[in-house]
Amino acid sequence: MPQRWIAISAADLYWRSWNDETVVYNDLTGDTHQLDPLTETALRAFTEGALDAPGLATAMTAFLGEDPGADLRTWCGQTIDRLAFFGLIEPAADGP
Amino acid sequence: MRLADLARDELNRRLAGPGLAVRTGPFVFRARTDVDLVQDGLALLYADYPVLDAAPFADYHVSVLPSRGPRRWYRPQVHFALDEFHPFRPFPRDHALPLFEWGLNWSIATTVNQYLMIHSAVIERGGRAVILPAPPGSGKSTLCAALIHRGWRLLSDELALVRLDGSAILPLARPISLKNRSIEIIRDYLPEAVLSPRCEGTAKGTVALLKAPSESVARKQEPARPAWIVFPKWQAGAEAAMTPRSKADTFLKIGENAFNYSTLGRTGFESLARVVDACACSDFIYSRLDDAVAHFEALAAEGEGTP
Repeated sequence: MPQRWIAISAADLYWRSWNDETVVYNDLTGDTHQLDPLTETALRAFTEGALDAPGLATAMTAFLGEDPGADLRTWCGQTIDRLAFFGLIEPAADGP
Repeated sequence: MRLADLARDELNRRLAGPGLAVRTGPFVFRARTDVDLVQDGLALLYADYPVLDAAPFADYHVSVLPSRGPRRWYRPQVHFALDEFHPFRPFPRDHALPLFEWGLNWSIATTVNQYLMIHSAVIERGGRAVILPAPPGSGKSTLCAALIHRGWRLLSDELALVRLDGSAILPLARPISLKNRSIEIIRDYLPEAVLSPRCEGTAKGTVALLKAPSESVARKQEPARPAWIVFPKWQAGAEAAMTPRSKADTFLKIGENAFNYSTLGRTGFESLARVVDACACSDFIYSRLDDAVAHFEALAAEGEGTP
């Protein structure tokens, strides 16, 4: 069963957006991150509930209105790695 | 009473003795020094500042005093102290005046957390502030010096003190540190400006301090609301141009330039976010000060009359 991930507590994330640019502050690490619209959508999806990589691909396909195929799946895997590296998402409690 | 109202003998007596309490922006510093270069510098550069006769409290007790030991006979040095703490190694005696200014900047930058503190110049017109963050060598101080003699008020050349609710920037008008070629550029451009003697061979090259305009010192209680963030860059031969820049990128760059953004945590984020919300953000390239002044005139004219 693929690893499922979830955003850290919403109480620890502070957002600010201007047009299609977003910054998010992680109160647990004290770091501020700039997010492009796709990454912002991914992180917001993880705030809605736990997702694995295929689940994120489904959420992103819905956002994009089309399925870019393998490119999107690769991007989802890389994005999960990046968000986890920065401590913005963590393994879901029900994960393996 | 202003510092200029004190007779020189009395000024020197206080500086060498109990100390002289001076208000700058929201802070009071009590200065002690028997080094004539600093005494002369304070008399020249701080002439318009209010002196507090019997200040019951000073935020900073700072001193620049000669170092002791045999070296004083062949290589005289001075040291800066905040209370009894010496944050720097001794400096050559000739660098005493810039050392005083850098020491006071250091004292404020390392202790203040009741404001978000951004490393930038700030100028004001019509109640609206321009934040000018920039790395050394970008021409920030030169530009700031020119603008405050062409209709803008100086809030600060080094430290933007932002209220934590992001609504206003407090004045901290102090002398502007000009370096190397900027000294002659400003001497030529502003013959009326008051500059300290040049100080050669400092860690930052040749330095001279420009006196803050009297009006900026007098309006020490008037904050300004953030309206623009402009990243200036001097570039030889460049046509002056102001180009919009990304707010998110501006946010990150200013956060990196803030002394206490990380320390303030979530409060710092919210504070800076409100500032960026309120500001138009631009990059500004220039090579001639007259062109720069004209561009900032146009900036001031934008939305004029807006409270």
